[in-house]
Parts: sequence; C-alpha cells; structure tokens
Amino acid sequence: MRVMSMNSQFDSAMCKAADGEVQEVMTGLILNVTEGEILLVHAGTAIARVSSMSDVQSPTA
Amino acid sequence: MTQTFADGARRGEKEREQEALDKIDLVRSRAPRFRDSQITMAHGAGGKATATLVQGLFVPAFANEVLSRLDDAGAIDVGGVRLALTTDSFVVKPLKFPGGSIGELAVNGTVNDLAVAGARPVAITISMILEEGLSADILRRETEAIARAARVAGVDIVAGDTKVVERGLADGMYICTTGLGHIDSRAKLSPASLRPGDRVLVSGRIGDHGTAIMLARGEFQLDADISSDTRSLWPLVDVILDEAGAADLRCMRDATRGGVASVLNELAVASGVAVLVNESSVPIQPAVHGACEILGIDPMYVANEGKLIAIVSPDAAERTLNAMRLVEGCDDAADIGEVRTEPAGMVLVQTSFGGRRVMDLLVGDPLPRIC
Amino acid sequence: MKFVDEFRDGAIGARLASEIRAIVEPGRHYKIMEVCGGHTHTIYRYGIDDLLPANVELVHGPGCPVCVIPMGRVDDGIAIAREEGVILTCFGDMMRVPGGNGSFIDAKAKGADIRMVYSPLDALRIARENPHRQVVFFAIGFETTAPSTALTILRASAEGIRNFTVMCNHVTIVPPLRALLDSPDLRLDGFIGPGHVCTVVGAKPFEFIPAHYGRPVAVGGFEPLDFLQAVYMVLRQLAEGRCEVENQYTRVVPYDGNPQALKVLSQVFELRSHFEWRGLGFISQSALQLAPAFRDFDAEVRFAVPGVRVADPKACQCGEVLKGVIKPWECKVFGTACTPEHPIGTCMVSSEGACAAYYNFGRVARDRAVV
Repeated sequence: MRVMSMNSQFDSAMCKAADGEVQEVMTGLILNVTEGEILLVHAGTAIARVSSMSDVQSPTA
Repeated sequence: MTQTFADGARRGEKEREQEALDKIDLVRSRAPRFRDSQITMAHGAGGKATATLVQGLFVPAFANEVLSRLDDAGAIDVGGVRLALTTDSFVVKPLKFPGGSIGELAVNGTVNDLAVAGARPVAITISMILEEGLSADILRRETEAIARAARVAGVDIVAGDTKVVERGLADGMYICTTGLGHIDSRAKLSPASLRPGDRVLVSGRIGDHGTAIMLARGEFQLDADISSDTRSLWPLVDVILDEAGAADLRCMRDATRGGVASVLNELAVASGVAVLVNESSVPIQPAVHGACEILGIDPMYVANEGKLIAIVSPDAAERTLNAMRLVEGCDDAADIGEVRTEPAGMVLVQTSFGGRRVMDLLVGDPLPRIC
Repeated sequence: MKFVDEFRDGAIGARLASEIRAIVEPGRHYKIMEVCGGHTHTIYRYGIDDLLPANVELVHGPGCPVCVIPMGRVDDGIAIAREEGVILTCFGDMMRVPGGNGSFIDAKAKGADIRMVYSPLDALRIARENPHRQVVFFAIGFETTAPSTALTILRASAEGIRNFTVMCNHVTIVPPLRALLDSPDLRLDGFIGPGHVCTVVGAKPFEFIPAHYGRPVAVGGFEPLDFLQAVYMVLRQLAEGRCEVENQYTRVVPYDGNPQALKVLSQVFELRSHFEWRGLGFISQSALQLAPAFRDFDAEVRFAVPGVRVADPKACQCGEVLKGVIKPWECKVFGTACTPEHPIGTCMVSSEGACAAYYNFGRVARDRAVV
C-alpha cells in the first residue's frame, strides 16, 4: 500500500491500496517511513517496505 | 522387481483414494439433514448451512411440489393465469449505505425474485418491524425510499403491516415483503434445464452491494468508493426474454446472498452439469477487487442486489449479451463461462493465471482470512 | 493493481511451468512442503497444482495459524468471552475453529459478544469506544502477525487504555519445522519458506534446514509467479545437487529480517516454555506470551482461564496430515465423520486446511483428464 500521510504521534500512516482503499496502518516497524513509498501491510501493520518490483522473471532470463 | 512393487503399491493407493472420493460423493449426494443444535449466523448466509436448513427442515415439513423446486419465486396457477409469488425479509445494517437503503433494497429485492422467475412484478406488500426509539425521520426517509423504488419498478404496494418491538430487539427496522408477479408467456425457465455448451451471462460488475455494506459497517477501518448496485431487474429481464425467449433462455438467478458462486452451484446441482467460469471474463470493479483482496474474501461469494445470472443456449448468447448491454446499468454485462458435462454438480474456475480450481458453496458467511 | 498484476501474468506463469517440467527427472517423485498457509491459499486461488507436473507434489505445512490452535485454547477463549461485560475479538478465520465444546460462532449464538476484526488496532478501537466493557483480542498467528499485536499493546499502553487485553496464542515457525524434520516418518525433498514471516525474521533462521537436515529452502512470495519461481528454485537446487536457503522474495525479504520488528517483539513478548499445537502436541519454546512488563494487558492474567487441556479427537489424524505423513483421504474420519460442515480437526475448518482443500478439490484433480 502506498503511504499518503503520516501520524507521527502514534507511528501510523494513512495508506492507500492501488485500487483506492484507504486504511490506517501502524508503521512502528519501519524506520523513516516517507510519503509515497510502498509498504507490505499485514493485519493492519506494515511489516516491510517493498523495494523493487522486478525479482520475478523467467528463470532463464 | 522394485519397479513392479512400486507400481503395485501406487495402484493400490489409487484405488483407496478412489474409494475415499466415492465416499465423499455419496455423503454429498445424500439429502441434507438438519441436525445442528442451534441457529448460528451461518444458517442465514446463503451457503451450505442455509441449504441444509431449507432442504433438511422446511422443504420436507411443508412438502409440496412448488416449494421443492426452490426457485426464487413459487409458480402457481390461479384460474388459468400463471402467477409468481415470493417473500423476503430485509435486516440490513446499516439502514442506509452508499448507493441505497433498506427501503429501496426491500422493493428491489422482492421484484427481482419475481423478475428472475420470468414474472412481471405486479404488486407487493410491506411489513415493518420497528424498534422502539427509531427516529421518525429515518422512518419517513425509508417510507419515501420504498415509494420511490416501487414507482421505478412499476409495482403498487397493496397491503402492509406494522409492529413495534422493544428497544434492543431489532436494528432500527426490519422489513418483510411479499411480491406477486404475472409469469410472462415468453418464459420457460427451469434450473434443471442447463445443457452442455450453454453460456453463462452475468448482467454487470459483481460484488458491489456486499462490499459496500461491509465497508459501510465501519468494522474494518477501510475506506473505498463503492456503492450498492440495488436496482430493479425487470427491464433487463424483459429484454432477455425478448432476445432469447422460450427456446434459448434456460434459467435466470438473482445473485444475492452467497453471490455468483452460490447461484452457479445451485444450478450445476439442479441440472447435474458442470459450470466452468473463466475468471478473467468476470466483471469486477477495481475498488471491489481491492477491498476483497485486502479482506481475504472472494468477490464471487459476495452479495449483489441488482445482478442476475442468465443461462442461455450457445446460439443466442452473443445477441442476448449485446441486447443486455444496451439496458441502463448493464454496460458491463459479460459472458463468463459455459456449461459442461463433467464433473457433474460442480463449478470450476479457470483462473486468470492459467490453473483451474473448484468454486464450492461456502458453509457460512465468507470470513476474512488472515493466514 | 499495476505492480501486483505483474506477478499474476499467466503467460510468464506458463513459461515458468514449462521450465519446471524441463528440470524435473521424469521417474522421480518430488514432495515439497509449502510451510505457510498463505502459500496454500495461493496454490488453490490460482490453481497452481494444475500447472505443475504430476510428479511434483505440494505438501501443506504447519503454517496456517488457525489450523494449529488446540481445542483447549478455543475453550479458554470462549470462557473469557462468557464473562460479564467482555467483548472478545478475533480474526475472521478463527470464528469457525472447533473447540472441545463448539466454536466462537456457536458461542456467539449462545449469547457471547464475539466480534470479528481485521486488525488488532480495530480491537483497540472497540475498547476505546466501549470504556465500560473489557475488550479481549484473541491473538493468533506467526511472526507475521505478532508484531501487529505488539504494536497494538504498546499503543494501548501509551494511550493508557485499561480495558484492553490480549489472549496471546502467537507461535513461532522454526520449532514446529524442527519437530517435523525430526520425525522419522517424514519424507520431504524441500521447503518453500514463508515469505511474510521472513520479512520479520529474515531468511537466516531457516539455514538449519539445509545445514542439519540436508533439504533445500526457497523463501517465496505470495503472488502466483512468486510461488512458481520458488518451486523452481527448490527443484533447481535438487537438480544441481545444491542445498541452501535461497530468497525468491527479495523485493520484501531482507536476509536478516526486520530488526525493528524483532526489537518490538522481544520488548513485548517472551517465549513460553511450551505450547500445544493441534496435531503436533507440545513443542517447547514454540510460542509467545506477554513479557512481565505488559502483564496488565495479558488476558490470561486478568481473567480466570480454565486452561483445561482438551485432547485432540482420537480418530482425527490432523497431525499426520500436517506432517505430510498421510494424505487427507487416508485419515480414518475423512469425508465421513469429518466434513467441512461438521469439522472434527482443524485441517477441515479453514478452506485452506489440507483436508478441506482435498475434500473440495480432490475430485477435480482426479477428473482433470475429463474436463
């Protein structure tokens, strides 16, 4: 989900899924969250940032 | 030597597996028995638990031929006139949600049960169960919503009833309805009439209503711009009857509770055929897709309130679909799959990724999954 | 969803599937365990079984958090929910898990206030909105969900919310894997590592599998292409005679995990000396409980919990199924006494449980040739 705005008081952020859903996500596990980056969210908590999108490819490529 | 032994062992295993599978088929083919000790929410969800309750308790108790067909509306003959009679209750929470409200839903839900039975809605009755303390403004609003929806659907509200229950015994208001319709002479419908090769048409994007309600309840802290699709289906049915008519239209179903998946399962069982759904052809709006993905729910099981499934012969499929798309609100109607011979009584999905899976009836409500 | 669609491209999937067919030895049977319930879901959701050669068998591992909760813990949860003024909250898929005396859904029907939440944060919100009620979150899950519970407790503590507690059933993934690998009757060729757990703990904790047990591991993501590629990576290791931990899911999984999450986990939780796993029995140091500093938030401290151990039903062989020792249909009660409508063991509860999946989909696997 993409970070839209942060709430530093509670270490949370409003995040938007690519399809438009918006939810509050706890971001205490990710250091220095910035607007616009993509987080992997599980049960309302960001557990990882998504770095690149290109690690799936044909194995021979 | 080892080779032969391994082969033998594998064959034995295959036979034992076959026995286990046959056992499942046997259990499945038995008439359902209602043996639960109490009613749970699952019994109202439109899945297996509902089917067990209806077929294991109500149908045998009320034993008659019309009811046992389990159509959306019962067909009766009154002095040579073929009528369809249906009844429904509405217990939605919240009462008002994006795209509609309980009053509008009550009218549309009732006329749609008539419409998919091939009947032109004629009249409905409205029974209200009101909770002590309900705001008169809300009641006024819903009364207007009912009147408006009835006007649009072209039905009169010819009788009604009002009861008030103590605070805490109803979520504001419940509405119960009866609907009476005149069965159209173009309609020769039966859920048991599906034949291999028939096409499965859906009248638009699925899952809107159920998703809108889930989000409107605010339990999931999730916002998205999704509205209920509640609308009267008779204008669409009128067009389908014109286009496909008695020769090519096998059956229609209103894909409400339990969604498209449950409807297709019912039809596959009733006709003893398989239905193969092509996932990538199923129209779903991105916001619904996204919300369902986040909640771990399959949109195929999510309720609709203005979508029908029509099974038509292969020859009539394309022209029926084209005609459907011209009806207001049905631009996204699509051909989503076909009827096959095997495996009888089951619904399969050809996934957009290329694999195949079974789409069975759920036991109860679709539960959000975490793992 | 653009960046997700990339990982659902059926054409690349077909190419990967043919690479997989090319790399397997024709006469050899491969058993690969996907550890995580999320992977099991991906397999069924996209019909991935269908794309793999017949001699590559996927075995569902112990990584479905719902499936491993023992009956006694469900009963304890229900006992808390029955106390005056308590609202018990849990994830949706926990609702139908049978305890010794019914599930949460049954308890709800009998009057307990049990509500489904999507995130522990939703449970905290319910506590905030109901200051005169005791709100208990029935926490389940591996290292993926435990941080979410931990952060919620920290937030409750920071906000000074006193009516919120957690019944902690969080478990850790490595001990049960070790227990599986130690079991003499186990026959597995390799493992797909749980991608989401690894975002927290990293891929490193799985090094013992190749090092001590000589089985290759590929940590995989949850999109169908992720999963297929992870299967390919395990098979390639087997073909090349390598045995190590590889990371397919590099876009999210750092090899050493998320240090911040690990810090929060160790701040809020400590290891239990032992915990019972459904089907696997007691495994030492395999679960988490709240650290002494957070005792105020521990439901097992605040409420009298019966803590009665309910033995797994004798006939149920969920343990052997989880270990991959027997196939679901080889279980004595499979498909007869134990069905998705009336599950005995947890493997039958969640639609991703190995038994429910086989019950629903097994016949199609058999009929694949016909379809």
